[in-house]
Amino acid sequence: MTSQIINAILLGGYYALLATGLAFMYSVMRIINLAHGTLIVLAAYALWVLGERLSIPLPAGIVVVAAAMFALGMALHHAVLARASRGGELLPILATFGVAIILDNLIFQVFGADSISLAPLVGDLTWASFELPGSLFVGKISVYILLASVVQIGLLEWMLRHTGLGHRIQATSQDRATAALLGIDTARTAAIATGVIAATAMGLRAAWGPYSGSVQLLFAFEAVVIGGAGSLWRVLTGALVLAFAQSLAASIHPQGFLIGGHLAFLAAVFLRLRGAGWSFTALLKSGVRA
Amino acid sequence: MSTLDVNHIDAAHGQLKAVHGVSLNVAPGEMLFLLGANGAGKTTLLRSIAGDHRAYSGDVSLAGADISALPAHLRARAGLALVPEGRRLFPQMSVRENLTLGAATARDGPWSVDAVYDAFPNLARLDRSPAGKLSGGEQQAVAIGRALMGNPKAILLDEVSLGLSPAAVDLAYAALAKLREMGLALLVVEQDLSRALRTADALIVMCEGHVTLRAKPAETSLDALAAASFGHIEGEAA
Repeated sequence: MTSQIINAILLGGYYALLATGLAFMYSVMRIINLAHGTLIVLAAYALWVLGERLSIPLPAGIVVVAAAMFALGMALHHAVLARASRGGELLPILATFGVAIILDNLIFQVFGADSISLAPLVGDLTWASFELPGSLFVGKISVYILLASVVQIGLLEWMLRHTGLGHRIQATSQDRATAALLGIDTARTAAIATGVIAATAMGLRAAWGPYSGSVQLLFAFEAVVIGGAGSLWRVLTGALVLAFAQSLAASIHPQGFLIGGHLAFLAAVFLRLRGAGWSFTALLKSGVRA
Repeated sequence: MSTLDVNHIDAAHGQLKAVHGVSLNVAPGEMLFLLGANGAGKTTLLRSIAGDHRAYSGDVSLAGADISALPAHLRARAGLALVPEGRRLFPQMSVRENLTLGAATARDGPWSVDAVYDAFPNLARLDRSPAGKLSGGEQQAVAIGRALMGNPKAILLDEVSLGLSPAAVDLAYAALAKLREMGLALLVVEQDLSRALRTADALIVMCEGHVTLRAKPAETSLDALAAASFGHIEGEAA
């Protein structure tokens, strides 16, 4: 039982890592980025190419990929998102859906259908574990992922509250017209924010294939809806609730894992939309700071 | 030469034409009041000048440079500030953070957070308070201070005294008088006709998107301003 609770917390950390970018992007730009999962998978492939083919050590690879993803995020913003978001609420969703399909199939074209993993790059880390009192074992990598998600959320929240860029991002998110009247280039601010998000999107947990993006997206989206996009700490809460619901259902029935998560998600949807009309704002609780 | 030159602005909300070919200019150190009833098109005109609303024809020049083609953030960087109706502060951010956002224009000039606190001494002790917790008068002071942080050449102020106590209105106008002495061009939308008549260097009255009266305060009267607000154009003086 204790072991299941600990594992659910660690899994929640992984979902929080996935969901933070999605929530942040929605808060800043009011765009639900359906390519989010695919971009994470793309970043993971890039890490794999650098590490496996070019023998670049993983920490250096992460820096390189983060920079490349930042550039890709900016490019994506200028080429697709900025234009699509002029067309209302639905168009950017369709546009990012299109981007996801194109990228998924490009990845398939280039790398084939093999499942690959970053495990060989990190030595014994993927199966090493910490021993807790009471002969409980927890995987080291899961612990590091949980720490990474807390650090990532902490850094982003700190950036939002205490830096000039963070204040400009908040202003753009809360009242785009007024931000522009103050001389803030809202398009550039949003593009930088997109880049930051894309750069932090990475996966190191399990083996993946070219079409893994949609699963990552699904869990990220469920975590965001359960927690609410208002504050990134709420995203962490949502991710933990999702992981607990999945683990609980899995302990009741071996097939229950996904169903438990979906039930928690649906419960959150009904709670959030109760009394309010259907809108993404009602569903996701807008604003970088709640 | 005028600081702000506005020529034949036409602006609409969809099918509804809100501003019909309005022209005006404001000299350095001049305070021009824009008057009129609700729905006269004053706010739409101000937003069109600032680039927050797209006019479909007409030009705006700032200190001789044509800024008609620029989006709102570049007009702000060129030195044109709008203090919007309702102040539009960022309520969860502190007073200092709101003021600092105004510096996003990256223009050189005399204004800093400390200079704003000198001009509005009641703000200094609210430095760390969230802007949303302030009184209406304090919020208006922050909104004016935030515009000043961008070191503008001209400031447009929409509904300065709306929702403020008489004392707060006096404070706001005392600050505007100092800005006038510093040589800023001020375009002020105001509902209080007698305040406008006492304070203005020049007055323009609008009704249903048209200018119905242009006058100097000495040449007109409260009655003429009121009549012009309801569309009587026989009193036109300029």
